[in-house]
Amino acid sequence: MNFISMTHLPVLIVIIPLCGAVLCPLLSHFSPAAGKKAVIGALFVSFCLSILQLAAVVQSGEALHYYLGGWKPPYGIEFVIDGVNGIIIVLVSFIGAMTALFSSPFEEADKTAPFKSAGYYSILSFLVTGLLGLSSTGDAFNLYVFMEIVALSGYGLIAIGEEKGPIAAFRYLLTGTIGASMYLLGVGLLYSATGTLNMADLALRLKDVDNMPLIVFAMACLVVGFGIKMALFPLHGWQPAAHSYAHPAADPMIAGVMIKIPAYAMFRFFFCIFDSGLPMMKTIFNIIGIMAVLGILYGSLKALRYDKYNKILAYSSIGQVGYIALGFAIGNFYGIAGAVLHILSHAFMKTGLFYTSAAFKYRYKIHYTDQLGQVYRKMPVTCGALVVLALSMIGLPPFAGFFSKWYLALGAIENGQYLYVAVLIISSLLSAVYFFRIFEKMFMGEKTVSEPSTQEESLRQGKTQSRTEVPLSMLIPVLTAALMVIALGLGNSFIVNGVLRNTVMGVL
Amino acid sequence: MTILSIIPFLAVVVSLAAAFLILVFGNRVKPNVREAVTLLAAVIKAALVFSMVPAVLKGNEYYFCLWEIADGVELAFRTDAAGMVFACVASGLWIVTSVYSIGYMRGHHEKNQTGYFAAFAVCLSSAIGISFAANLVTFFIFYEMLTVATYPLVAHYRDDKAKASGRKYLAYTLISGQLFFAAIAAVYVIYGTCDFRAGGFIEPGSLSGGLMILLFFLMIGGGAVKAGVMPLHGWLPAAMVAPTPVSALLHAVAVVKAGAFCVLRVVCYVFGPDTVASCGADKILAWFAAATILLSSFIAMRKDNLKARLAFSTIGQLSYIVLGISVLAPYSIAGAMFHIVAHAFLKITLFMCAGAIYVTAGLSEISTMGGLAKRMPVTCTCFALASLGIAGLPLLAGFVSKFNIIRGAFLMGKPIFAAVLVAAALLALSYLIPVVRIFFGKGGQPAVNSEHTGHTGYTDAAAAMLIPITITAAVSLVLGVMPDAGPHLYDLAVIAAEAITGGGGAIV
Repeated sequence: MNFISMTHLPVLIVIIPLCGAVLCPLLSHFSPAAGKKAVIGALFVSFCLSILQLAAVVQSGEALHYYLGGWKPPYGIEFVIDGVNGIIIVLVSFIGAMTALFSSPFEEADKTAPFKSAGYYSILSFLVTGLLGLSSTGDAFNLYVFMEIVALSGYGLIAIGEEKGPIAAFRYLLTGTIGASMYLLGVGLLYSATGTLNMADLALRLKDVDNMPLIVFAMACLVVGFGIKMALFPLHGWQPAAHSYAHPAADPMIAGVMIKIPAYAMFRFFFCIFDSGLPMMKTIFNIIGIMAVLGILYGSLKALRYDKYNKILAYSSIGQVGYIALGFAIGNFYGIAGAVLHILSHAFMKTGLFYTSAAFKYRYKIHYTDQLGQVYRKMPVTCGALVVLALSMIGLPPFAGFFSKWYLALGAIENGQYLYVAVLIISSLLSAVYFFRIFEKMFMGEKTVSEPSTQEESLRQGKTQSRTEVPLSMLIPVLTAALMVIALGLGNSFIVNGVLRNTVMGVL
Repeated sequence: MTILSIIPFLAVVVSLAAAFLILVFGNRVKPNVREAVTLLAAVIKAALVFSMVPAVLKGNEYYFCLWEIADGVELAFRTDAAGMVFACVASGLWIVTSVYSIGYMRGHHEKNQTGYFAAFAVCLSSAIGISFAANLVTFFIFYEMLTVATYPLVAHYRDDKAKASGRKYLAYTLISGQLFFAAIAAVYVIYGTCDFRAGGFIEPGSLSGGLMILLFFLMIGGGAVKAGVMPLHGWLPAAMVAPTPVSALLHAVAVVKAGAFCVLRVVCYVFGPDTVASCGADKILAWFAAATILLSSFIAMRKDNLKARLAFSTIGQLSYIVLGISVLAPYSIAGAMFHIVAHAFLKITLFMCAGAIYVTAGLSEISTMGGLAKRMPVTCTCFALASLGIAGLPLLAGFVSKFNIIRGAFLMGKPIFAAVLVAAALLALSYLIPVVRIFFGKGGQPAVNSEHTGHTGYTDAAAAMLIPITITAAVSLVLGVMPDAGPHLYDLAVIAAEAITGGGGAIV
């Protein structure tokens, strides 16, 4: 039994949430809570397995290959797990499980429509499945399939959000489809040149292809495709609305994780498939670098202009995704390590901040930062977590955000790209402005939150609490995100040296 | 010899733990219990720090490494002689300020005392972390922690004025902090190490002159802002809106001293006197410091608000330290380090007197304080004593440090700086002695701002404020007569200066 589960780990991690997603509506038919529990359980199991998988990868020191159905590549589909995606899979399943847990108070409030809640959990689980598959696969076309699973469930979760959700979802649908098509076009071009879709095989055969225009065009398609999916400037148009209006409980997952995994896929293509020593790669990296720089500045400046908490966070994400792209554009060990570390740390930071946003909405219907006055007296733990997460976003030590910035700066200085360092500094300062502005409102603003929203009041009848924190199932994810940001910060060198170094050095 | 011991780390975290306890207890426990946590932590911290003094005096160093905080950089603490000087001052004065804070905050019925005491404890943790940090990254972590923890103290009153000061403080410190960050990253990439070494680890001539100066000032900027070197001093007078114990903390114990200490670490332990002298950065820094000393004295004379006058006095006094360091002579470096001690005790006395007058009599403008000595004889006497000490009169602590700095300046053939120091001493007399004269003058009945205090009759300040004032005044007297009394701080300063300059050799 142990042997079977260990060898099949890569696929089990992806399949279990898929089973949860499929079974959830079915189970809800019998008992409203069963479906929800199935999904939360499936995601937690997947999370535990992903840790086992990462441990196995780190221990063996080399990549784990899994052939689906026993079909050997290049004909069959394979999952390849190395240090980089091993840890990203842990991240996805962890945040997926946390988000499912976080959602339960939102969905409980809607007892009249049991199937709606089951649908929500089902889609959330599909989203996690897609993200896990996207991270695991070693096949370029399979990646497209998972990308579409992610996108489709993303549309659903955005559409069932706030009033403007459907419009935001439609907009994302249009742009996202273009992105996916561009990706497919790029992969198609590569297929036409090499006749293979397996990533490792592609890398081998591309060495013999001297049709440079084709490769350059394929790369351009891929940059645009991934750029749209990860909301890299100037391809970010869909993102702010989608992140602001999505279902509040699923928003943390959408904003925190969904845009990071295409960034990881970008790493796969540009460092593992294409030969990063090619002369025109420098140009491609410079273009990505320019997009990143502009995105960082644009996102940070735009975030200053908004008063809506979610909008601030959304625009800040455009900047933060720029950090990741910047790391790839730097392209040396520190640059890539910083980028991957930022995928992890920003995932926890942004997810955590969206958790706090959802908590404010849930408890006091707060959407705007002006409404945050003295809220910390009511929700001290949530606000404490917010402070930690925001300080990490600014990039202050000893939190995770500081260290990803540190590696990016080291990488940039090593390459002599001082402009990138300057941009990192400016972006930190700009984010300090908008986050300290939130602190000011939260701690020093006029008192605006007096009583919980009426719906909540009716639920809490009979309970006498001096404080009005959110329920435990929301509090745990909020706190976990904050603690993870601290842990990732203090323990970053274990990840960089213990997990990432082997893989990253292998592709350079 | 290096002693591996956890004591330095414990000394850092004890107040961090206290801050956590204070926040958790909050208002749920009686204020006495909450304050007991502060006092207990202060006493434990001081005991831990002072317990290391004997071994350090014998030329040993305590060392404790937690783990690698970033690739190739350890989170490590090392207690060299220079760090001990700062740590002894900070931890010793924390006890005094804590007692005083309790008296002041209660006497003044301040709000938000929980947050106040917690932030105070974090500041102290950072100060000890700064003094014991073994490398630039560890140093920077605590340096930024200090910035963040001081912000709620500066903005304590949470009104518009406090918010504006808080913003100003953040603008100055965060911008300089980010530049400091870039410089640290550059040093690490170029030299492959961040570990402090007496005499510096940067070889003269390893970078071209202009680049070296650029790197030096990027780095020193972080220290110069907190030390209030003009033109980077703007935040300091603005921060005067905070409660008086905070001003005492800012001016005497932690913040500005951390800035001065940062200058010391950068000049003497990163670049090293030889490198600084060879690129000419010492002269630039020295002239800025000299200008600050003179200008701040002139500004101080014109201030009628007692705290504002003291603030400008601080700006001047801190530049004594910076000037002493940038003269680069062994004597002047030792003098500068001892001035950290001397100024700490003198200025904290002055600030605590100002605060006691404000709480007891409700007076803040010097011109209204005529004849105050009749009502508050002890407070006024201590104020007079400390004023003379600031001016550098023999038999008081300020004399020892200034004498050494002047001696160093002469030995280095820089009599102009000696002249600046003497002139500044006279100026200090001219702005502090008039205050004393007003106190002891025959100005009829001392005024009282009954609107503020709620009563008209009053005698000297409450014991919780008076005892700390007398203690610090007495210590400044004792240190003036016997600089080596107690923990041998003068010896420590000399040991550190000898280590930096390689046994007293003159540097050209």
